[in-house]
Amino acid sequence: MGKLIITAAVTGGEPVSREMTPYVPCSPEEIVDETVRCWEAGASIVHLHAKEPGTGRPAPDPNPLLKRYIEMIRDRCDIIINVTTGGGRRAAAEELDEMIRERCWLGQEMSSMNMGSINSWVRPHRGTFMNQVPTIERWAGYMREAGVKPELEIYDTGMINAAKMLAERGVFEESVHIQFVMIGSTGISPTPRALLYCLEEKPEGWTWSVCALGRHELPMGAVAMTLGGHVRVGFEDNIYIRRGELAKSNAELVERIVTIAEALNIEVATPDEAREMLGLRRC
Amino acid sequence: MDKLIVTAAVTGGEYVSKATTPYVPSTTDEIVEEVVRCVEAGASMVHLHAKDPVTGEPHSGDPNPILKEYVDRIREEVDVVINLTTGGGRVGNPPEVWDELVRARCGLGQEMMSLNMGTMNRWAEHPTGKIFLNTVDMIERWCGYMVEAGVKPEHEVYDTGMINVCRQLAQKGVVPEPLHVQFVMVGRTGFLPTPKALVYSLDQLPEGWTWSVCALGRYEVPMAAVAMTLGGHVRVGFEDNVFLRYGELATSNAQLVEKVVNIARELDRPIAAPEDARRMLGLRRP
Repeated sequence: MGKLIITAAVTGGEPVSREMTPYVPCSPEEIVDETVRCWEAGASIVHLHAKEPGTGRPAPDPNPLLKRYIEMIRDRCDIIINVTTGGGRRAAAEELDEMIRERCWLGQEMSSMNMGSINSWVRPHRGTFMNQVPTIERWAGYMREAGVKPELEIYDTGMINAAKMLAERGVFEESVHIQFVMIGSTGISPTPRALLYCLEEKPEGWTWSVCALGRHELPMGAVAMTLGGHVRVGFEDNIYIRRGELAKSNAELVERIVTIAEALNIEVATPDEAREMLGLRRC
Repeated sequence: MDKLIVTAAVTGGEYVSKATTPYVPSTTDEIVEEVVRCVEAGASMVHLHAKDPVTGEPHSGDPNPILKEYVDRIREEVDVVINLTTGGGRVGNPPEVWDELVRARCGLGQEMMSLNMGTMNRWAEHPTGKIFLNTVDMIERWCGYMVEAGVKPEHEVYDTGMINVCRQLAQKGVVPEPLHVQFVMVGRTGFLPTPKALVYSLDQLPEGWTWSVCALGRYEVPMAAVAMTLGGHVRVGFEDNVFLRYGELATSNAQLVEKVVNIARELDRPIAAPEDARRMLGLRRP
């Protein structure tokens, strides 16, 4: 079995703010310190959203903050940086497009990209998460131009089909990497059975990772690594270290995954090993 | 095994018009005659969209008066369970108008209405754009209109997450159990029309719920055979498939009904009459 790539989604993404956990990093300094802690614990990729310092809410103008995070992280460690294409969604469609194009040039190796539209049932994001096919194609083009590798986020099985069809059209570079975002509710159930079904639909040779929400994060991480996949953990998906007890740092969640991997004799990839495995440029 | 409920989706829905096949019924008379033929062939339910009488395109105005005409005329001709779409009337109208159309449509005398269980991308071009929008709020409200009107929803599921949505609707008491689910196996941006996808989906379905399958194009009849073998029901018709076999257009929806009825007979699965279907699905008498 290959080595395990652990992604730390440290910022809490769009839903998690200080109101949910006081431990979510918000200022650039906090986010960078937290990234370094996760890197020390064994994470080889960090996934970043832009946060409003103080509140931890999504920042309305993400790019300048993301640029700052990236520069500060590069000074401290060699972790792979994966930047969201979420955030700033209140902008008009053309403005958003321009924002995403600009965001491909901040110096990251990867950007996440949602592979379809889906309802969201959970407050405060109840509504529709729109990612239409032409948008996906356009944004993938921006990433190709910038030499940034997309991480294709899959929320339900039809998005695997969409990814395959887009790959056939040549929208992505050769080696495709997907993230199964097992959200339950309106998307894929966070169960081993669902994952097995998804894996059977996945083309051979595509690398893959799992993130599951809440209490499913760690168990599904264990299942994924056993099946040869990679794992994402962090406050974006789960803020608890065990029932009723908040994790004090994202690094605690990374440590748990590392401990499970060690017990299974699965080696944890360094950032450079992960770059090699995913075919990323060196930064 | 329960009797098999065969649904005929005769009108071609939103995608199929005279430009796709000259055999799609478009006028009220043609649609009613086609329904009668399908019932004679073994269909116990008919699924209806409102069509432009000449082109067979989706009707561009308010679909409700047309649908009412279909329902009234069908009731005069034949006993069949009537299932109306909640689609149609979307082009050029804001979602508030869709709401009003659907609420009013609940009172046209049908037993069932289809209801899409989520939002997804469209791969193909469509007048309403590249997104098939069915928000959670719409779903909850429209379920409410149906329950109030005594119309049973047919929950249309395009991917596995929508099964989760159905379960939550039941848990929250938005609709009474057991639910009736239609797996719309669209491929592309939805789930694949494969036995493996169906078996996975059935594992997610609570016991006691009824279910049916419709699959597009050349998958329609094979997936119907799989569904009926697994104890499910089937939908066929021009809305999902216009071919009788490779390269040969079906000249009537009834030919597709006959195909699945023949398969069911060979499998010794009895065919439900409309009254059987009403009893099995817990529908009111019209």
